[in-house]
Amino acid sequence: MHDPLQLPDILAVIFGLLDASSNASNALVCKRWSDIALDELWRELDDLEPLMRILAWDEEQNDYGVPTTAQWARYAIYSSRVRHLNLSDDRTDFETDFWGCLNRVSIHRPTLAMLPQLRHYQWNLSDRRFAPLFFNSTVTTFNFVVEEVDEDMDEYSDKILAQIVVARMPAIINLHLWWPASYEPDATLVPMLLDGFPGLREIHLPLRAYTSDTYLRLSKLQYLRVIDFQGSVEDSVVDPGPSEAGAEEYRPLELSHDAFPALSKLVLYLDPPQAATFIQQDHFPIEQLQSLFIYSKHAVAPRTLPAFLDLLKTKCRSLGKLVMMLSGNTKKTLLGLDTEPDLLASFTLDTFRPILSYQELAQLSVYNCAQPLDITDEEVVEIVRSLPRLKGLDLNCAPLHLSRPKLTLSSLALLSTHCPQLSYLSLYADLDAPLSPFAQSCSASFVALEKLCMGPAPLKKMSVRPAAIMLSRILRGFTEMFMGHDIRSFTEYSVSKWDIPQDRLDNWDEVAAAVELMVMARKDERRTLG
Amino acid sequence: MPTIVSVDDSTVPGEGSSRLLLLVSSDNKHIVVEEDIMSRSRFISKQVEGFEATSQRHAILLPFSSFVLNKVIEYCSHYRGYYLLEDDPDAAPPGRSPVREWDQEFLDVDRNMLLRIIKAAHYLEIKSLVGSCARAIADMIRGKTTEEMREILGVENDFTPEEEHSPSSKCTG
Repeated sequence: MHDPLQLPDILAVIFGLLDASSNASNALVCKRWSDIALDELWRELDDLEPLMRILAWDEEQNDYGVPTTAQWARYAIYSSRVRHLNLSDDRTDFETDFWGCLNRVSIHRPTLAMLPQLRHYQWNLSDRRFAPLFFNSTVTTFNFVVEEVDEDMDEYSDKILAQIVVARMPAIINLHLWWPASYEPDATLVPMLLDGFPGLREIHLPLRAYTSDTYLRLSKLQYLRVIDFQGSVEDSVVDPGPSEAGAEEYRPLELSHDAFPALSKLVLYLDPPQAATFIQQDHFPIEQLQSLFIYSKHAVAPRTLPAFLDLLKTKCRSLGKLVMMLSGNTKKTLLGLDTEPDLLASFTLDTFRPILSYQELAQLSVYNCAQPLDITDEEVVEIVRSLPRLKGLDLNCAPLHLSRPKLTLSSLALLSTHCPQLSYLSLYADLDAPLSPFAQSCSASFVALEKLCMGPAPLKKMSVRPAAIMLSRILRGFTEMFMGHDIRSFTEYSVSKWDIPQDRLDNWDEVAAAVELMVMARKDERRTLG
Repeated sequence: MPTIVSVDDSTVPGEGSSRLLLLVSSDNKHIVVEEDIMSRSRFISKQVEGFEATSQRHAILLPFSSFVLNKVIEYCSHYRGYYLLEDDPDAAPPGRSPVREWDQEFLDVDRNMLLRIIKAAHYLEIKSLVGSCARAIADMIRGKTTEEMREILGVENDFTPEEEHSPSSKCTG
């Protein structure tokens, strides 16, 4: 017997790397393995059916569908191992009478705690009736989709839901709520939840929910560190829904002297000038912000941005992450409804220049600008070299208008040579531009780059080969690439709405496939050469 | 998030400027190594903190052979001055970040040696090395049947025949 394989800590790490079928075999190897493999198998459930199958109606055993003592005993072996329950698919292909079983269980269960160790609970099913079945005092993270109540189905109203959530899950410190743009939840829902959880650490709401009243309530939560948004970018912006038209304009809050005492990450669904007013208001702890996400309601004119960035430079000295979504309503931009010359101008290095003094910045992301950024290869290097702590850079990899950018593939050679610390890079570069002599001879590869995202940038058939060779030289096997079609799964907003020429996507797919093969070949070559 | 990032030169003392540690293996070999190299081990770092509190430096006795210890020192020397995300106390469980080529070659050893290295890495609390070894072991057993696994890793079946046929051991999700 090799004893490391009896140490629970080591087994847990190994089993954590294996899939469910391997762990199902592991559970039958020996007793010690069984316990740890079962823990691993049942820790996270994204389907309730395996549990409900244990309690299913066995018509030979009884006539009423009441689970037997033996069924409950078996259920307990597994239910006590479940830490995460993530229900996000409305399945209809259940093998068993799933909803009937839930109904019988909700009536006959011998204990209120159906999953006694549950920590993370996500219920994104359209029928909310049975959600409270798994509410438990151990839950710390709760994720819920609020949808229209079907009164014929006896569903709880939003108000009753809020009451049960507060009463049954008092330990929640991390709350995620989302509702579709077409639904307006009861006005009491958010206030009741925010008042019900004074110990909240993180809140994630749809952008539309961040009204002045919500921010005011949040300002009073003593432990609140993170204000973030829930839902994909597309949900909120591409199709903003009816509530957008009547959305209130920002009004300054009357914050008390101890507002937001623990806040470090903030999302503001405001245009930069309003965001500036927000973070400058009396008692707002601007100096403690470490992460700021500005989600602009309207398209931002490049000339208006430097003033806001200057403010951050002087006031937010510990800012480590800055994300800016600058197009406002992308649908409007895509349809060409933003016609003011100011809005059609490109963002240049001068627009972003104040950022070069943010000494703590580790991530800079600029998304959704209408035009490609007007930045040269050397200027990108200047940005990265000015920011000593920068690890992630995202410079509008998918502009809404897919015109030819100034940036070229040669910029990657410069970055791999001068800024090898980058772990994440996302650019929109012209791959048809000839490579600089430096790039042609560059052999420095990124030692820490985990993700490289290249937008759907111009790429002709004849450029596929040189681009693939160049990329294979500067990338290592561990870098994940998102280019061509893959960018759809990478960017949260839907690229399919853009008119990207099919041959360009095909060329990108060719580059991605070739780079992968060439990177592997180079790795073998290095190994052979020792 | 970064996997490997070279630490700023100003924070890495030049070679030879680090203090020395005396490590004693279970086969009583004395190995002198620079403190810097071993700082990746949480266990060693805690010992060193203890030395600083009492101003007395002792030899550190370790429950594994010099053969294994030298292998671990080789790993730590290779990554000297590098920041590995997995060694951060707040990082996710080990073994989840991308595979490092060097580690793959370093761990291209026989099964017994691999198990001895993971045990030593676990004892020394070097999360990145535990992760790399765990991944190598996981690759070894992935997709194997229960019987094959017992055979490959030499694990005994301690289930009674009744337990083996009970529904609870079969219901694995």
